[in-house]
Amino acid sequence: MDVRIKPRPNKRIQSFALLFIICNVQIGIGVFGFQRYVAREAGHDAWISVLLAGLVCHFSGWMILRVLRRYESADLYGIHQDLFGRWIGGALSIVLILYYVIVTVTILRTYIEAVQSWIFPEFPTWLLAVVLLFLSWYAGISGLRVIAGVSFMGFLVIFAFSMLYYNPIQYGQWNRLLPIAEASPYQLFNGAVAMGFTLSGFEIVFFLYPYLKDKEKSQKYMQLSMLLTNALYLFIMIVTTIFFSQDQLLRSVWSSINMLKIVKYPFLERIEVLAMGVWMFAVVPGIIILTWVISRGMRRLFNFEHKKVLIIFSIGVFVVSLVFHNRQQIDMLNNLISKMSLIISFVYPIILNIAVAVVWSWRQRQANKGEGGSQHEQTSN
Amino acid sequence: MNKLQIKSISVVIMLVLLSGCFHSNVLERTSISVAVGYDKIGEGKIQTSSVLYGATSKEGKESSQVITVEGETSKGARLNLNQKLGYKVVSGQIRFIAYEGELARDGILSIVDTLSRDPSYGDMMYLAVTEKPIRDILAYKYPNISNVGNYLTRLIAHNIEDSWVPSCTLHDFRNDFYSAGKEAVLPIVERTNNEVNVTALALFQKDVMVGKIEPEQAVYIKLLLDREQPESLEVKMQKDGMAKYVKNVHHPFETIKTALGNLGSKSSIKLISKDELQFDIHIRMNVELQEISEDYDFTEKGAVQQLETELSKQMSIDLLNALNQLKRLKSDAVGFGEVYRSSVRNSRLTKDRWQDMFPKAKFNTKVTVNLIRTGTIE
Amino acid sequence: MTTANMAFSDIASYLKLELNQLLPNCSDLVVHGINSSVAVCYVSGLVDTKVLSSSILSVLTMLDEDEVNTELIRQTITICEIEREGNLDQVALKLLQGHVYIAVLDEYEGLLCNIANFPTRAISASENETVIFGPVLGFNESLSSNIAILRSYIKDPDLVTEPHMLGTKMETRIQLTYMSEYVDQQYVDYVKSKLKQIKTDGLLGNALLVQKLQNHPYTIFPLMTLTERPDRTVQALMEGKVVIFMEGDSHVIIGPSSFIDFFLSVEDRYMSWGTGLFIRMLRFIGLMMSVFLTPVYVAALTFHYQMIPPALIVSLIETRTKVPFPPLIETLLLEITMELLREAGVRLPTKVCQTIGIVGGIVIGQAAVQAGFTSNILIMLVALAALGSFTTPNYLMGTSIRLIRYPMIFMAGLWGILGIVFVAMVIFIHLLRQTSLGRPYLFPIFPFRGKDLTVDMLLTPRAHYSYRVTPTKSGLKSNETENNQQSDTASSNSSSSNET
Repeated sequence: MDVRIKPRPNKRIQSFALLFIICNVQIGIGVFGFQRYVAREAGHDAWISVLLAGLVCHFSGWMILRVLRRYESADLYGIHQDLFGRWIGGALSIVLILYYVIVTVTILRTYIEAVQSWIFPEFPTWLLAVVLLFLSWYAGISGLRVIAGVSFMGFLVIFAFSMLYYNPIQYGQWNRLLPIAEASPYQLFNGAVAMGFTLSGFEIVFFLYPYLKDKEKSQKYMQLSMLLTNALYLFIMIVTTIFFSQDQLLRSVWSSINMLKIVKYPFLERIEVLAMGVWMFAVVPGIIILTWVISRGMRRLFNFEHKKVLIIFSIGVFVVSLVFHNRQQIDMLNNLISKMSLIISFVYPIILNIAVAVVWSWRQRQANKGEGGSQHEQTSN
Repeated sequence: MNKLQIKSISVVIMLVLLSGCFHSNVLERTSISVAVGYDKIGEGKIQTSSVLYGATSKEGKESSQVITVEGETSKGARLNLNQKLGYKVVSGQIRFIAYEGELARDGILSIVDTLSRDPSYGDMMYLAVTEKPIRDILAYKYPNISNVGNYLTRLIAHNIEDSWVPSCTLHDFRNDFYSAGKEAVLPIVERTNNEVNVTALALFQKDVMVGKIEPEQAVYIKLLLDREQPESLEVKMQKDGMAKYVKNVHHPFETIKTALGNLGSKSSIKLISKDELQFDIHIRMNVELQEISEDYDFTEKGAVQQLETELSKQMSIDLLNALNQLKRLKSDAVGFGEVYRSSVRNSRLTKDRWQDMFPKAKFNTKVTVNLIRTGTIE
Repeated sequence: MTTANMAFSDIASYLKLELNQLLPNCSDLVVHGINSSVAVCYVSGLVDTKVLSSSILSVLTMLDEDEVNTELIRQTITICEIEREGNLDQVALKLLQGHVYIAVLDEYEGLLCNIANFPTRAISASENETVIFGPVLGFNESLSSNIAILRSYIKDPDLVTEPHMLGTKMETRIQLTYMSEYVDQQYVDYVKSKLKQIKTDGLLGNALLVQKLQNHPYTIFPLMTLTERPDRTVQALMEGKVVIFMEGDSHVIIGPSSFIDFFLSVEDRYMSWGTGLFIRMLRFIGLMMSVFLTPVYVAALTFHYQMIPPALIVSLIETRTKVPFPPLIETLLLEITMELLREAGVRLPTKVCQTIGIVGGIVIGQAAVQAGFTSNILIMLVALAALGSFTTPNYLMGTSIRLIRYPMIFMAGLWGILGIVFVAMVIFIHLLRQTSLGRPYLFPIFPFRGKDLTVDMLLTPRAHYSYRVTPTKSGLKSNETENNQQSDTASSNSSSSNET
């Protein structure tokens, strides 16, 4: 496996596409009910936690791109091999792949759970899983450009639906935000930690980076994308806080959808039914991108063919998602994932930065000492 | 398109077809309920009356059908309801739910929570309370009302929009129930002969109805709640300083009655002392005069100002009375607790604590009336 | 010929014998001996008889029989396109293309004169793509007159017309046309390489050529525009697109096209900005209504009754109670009736068409409701949906739009709103996968190009004074930087060579 990859020009995408790909992976399904986890920790100051988590997110994104810039055109699988060698690096990559498999299952299963609790209680889980996986397979076989296109649509859907939250604002009571910063820093920190899973996902830039055409703009669009995500989360958190009373919020599993129940138009009522269905546009891109990341990994590590991986993976995810029967299990899954995602999205970039600094300076010293180590010397150029 | 793709697509199409049609709610093959009423009959037994869209109507009029069943829980009653009907009862179109006073005095949380738990119920349906059994309201054959469920919904909706009834949707009720410093209010609906009307407001402590408040006072609560505003209000005051502006006195009078059109009001509630629990309540109103019971001479200098002062004075007294009524019933329908919670740091306010504190609160009320015009004549 | 024709006293009978072997069963072949040493042959009907008699036959009869030779004939007859040809196989082929062959006794080579005059119709107004105002002229089936029309608009050496031949039997002539200065060379190369790959007897029209040029043979969407309007063609050329003319087809292919192009009409630009924009937006609303209106009806009535506002639900229940079918069947029934009406209207002569309108309006509309077959509201929705699809300026696209409604209605009946979204997503992904001459089909939307999108959708006034959106080439410019640099140089080369 080469550390650096040079995809053909027609397989590359513009950095501009990061704007909606990252937004989509970050928002997806987390937006349905993240509020109560944050509010449980930070009360009515949850929005400060969301803001804090957002800032950390920007910092993390900057760290990720710092690592990637040093390698010019490598993905995380390659970086792993370069830093930790073939075996340890490979093992880390496999752990990552497994993590993304579980994330995919979580996204899939949570959306199915939401659909079942809001529109179709008797919609068979397996059928909806087949539908979603079929869509992601269909887009996945057509390459990164189509994936970016689907994300673009998801992006539009997400921001079109955020307009609907204008109505709940009118029912809001702004004094619920007062007194500002009542929660202790520790509570705010806990709230920010609870935002972790919701905000994670931006680390997929680790895998997209080599496929970007204009890499110098990647930082700009990635930060912009995270800014949009954070703004959306902050907006929804504030609307939720002023709309629900504290205890009511803690009892709502799907607060974001609950708020849509009050939106009505002369020709259409109960927007939440519509929103739930159309949200498929926002969920599928997330699944597709993660599928692509996994399939890339399988190709880089074991040289599997992309289309075959897609089929095998789809069947695998399908089987795994059927294991989860009730909401307790899904919640358990979410909790498990949220801890892992905190580490992978926020802590791991820092570790990588340190590792890169240490390994590269060590190599430098080695190179200075003797003429040996030429192999690494070449790669670092 | 290679073979693999064709295969997978056909597999998916087959699965889709095999899955077939699952549980559907075809519009005309369901009994669509528009209003539900809960009566208490005996210990632990609930009588549910349901207004349904008439399944078979030949004329162009909307018709309705009322079915009454008994059950231990509201869901149990619904099961019994299905046994009486040709089609399955669905609840997605319910827009009005009423509880009998008896039931409301015992607490209605379990029924309200049932409504929120089931996603098919909307959040914008209106809740109300009745003094007499609801069955009498719903099952009565009105000569002028074709579907009493829809009628009641319209009645409440328009009263919320234009009159003294504060918003009383399911969302509002739960919102107040779960908030530390505010109690819910629901309108009381009564039938008199062939008419249905809203007579008063039911005040709650948590989910238990503790008393009621008359429209004249309820209008001030609505002014303080500050979302929708009453379109008009009546003020009755002593003649006092106004006597000199009244011309053509044919009969002796003690009071002057006025009807005011509300052109926009702003209210502010401030906590001025957290230890003594003292609140400053200030309502600023722009009004136009719609009716006055005496021949009042507006052309004279100072007449308008005098009327404004008297109105302000009288209204602040009325406001205080309304608030004292709330205090007596220990039901904080306005949300002073929320003001307290948001102004006092680390208050750790809970519903129970506020219930003890609320009767000790002191109110300084002030109403500023700004008479914009006196209609098209002076 | 010198030795072979010794046996015959005159050239005419020799030619007749030889050509009859080469073109057996060709009854319209005429071999006409002027005298014993000169003969003329042609295929009747393919040549311009006026020119034949005035410029060839009259001259030939004047010549002295003994002194005649080809050089002399060549100098005397007044035809511009003359060539020498001795190979009778070639001669036979040329005769079928409308040439006249003049053979002289004792000479190996005869003369081929091109006075072809294939049957064609006069240039008339475009019938299928009508506009209220703006030029009404339409192309006809003659390639040369179509190119002439084009040249009357663009009098510039940049206009490249490359001839190609297609088909082994029918020998269809096509012309690849583009503005060498504006066009993106990669589209030209794409078309050329595709044309080379085509193996066929011949193509009956440009519509068939479009199918050969696209990558996905199974898509239901037209991937390239077919038009018979010169103004639209000229506009496309000015935007840097490639245009393909075909002999015998009044439609020309414009490529690359994107999904949005099919909803735009040249007329929009003839109107003022506001009205043009209004009509363009109306068409997109029509598209949305056409695709989603009836599926939403099915979904709402089958599963999501709670989404219907109270004012509507009462009338819906009333009309629906009499209908014996579930909404899905009811809607499919009415939609198919609608399609039948449309199809019948197309197939029947124009005069009978009006009767169809009455049958459709009265019988289906009134009677179906009274018989309790459908509800009033559905009839209105189906009619609206049909109207929406008819506003699409391009007929092929209008048909595709109507077609995608059926899976949507079907899935809406099975899975409600999820079914609609599912089908919408499949179609969206499908559209994303399509390319037109290598350019993504959903071009200005994705890959997103704000400038092109505003010009296309909002008709920003800029569109009135400049044809091209991006300075030289719109399209995939930034997608393949390396390729583009090559094509840049290539196109500049070609344009410079054109000028010299």
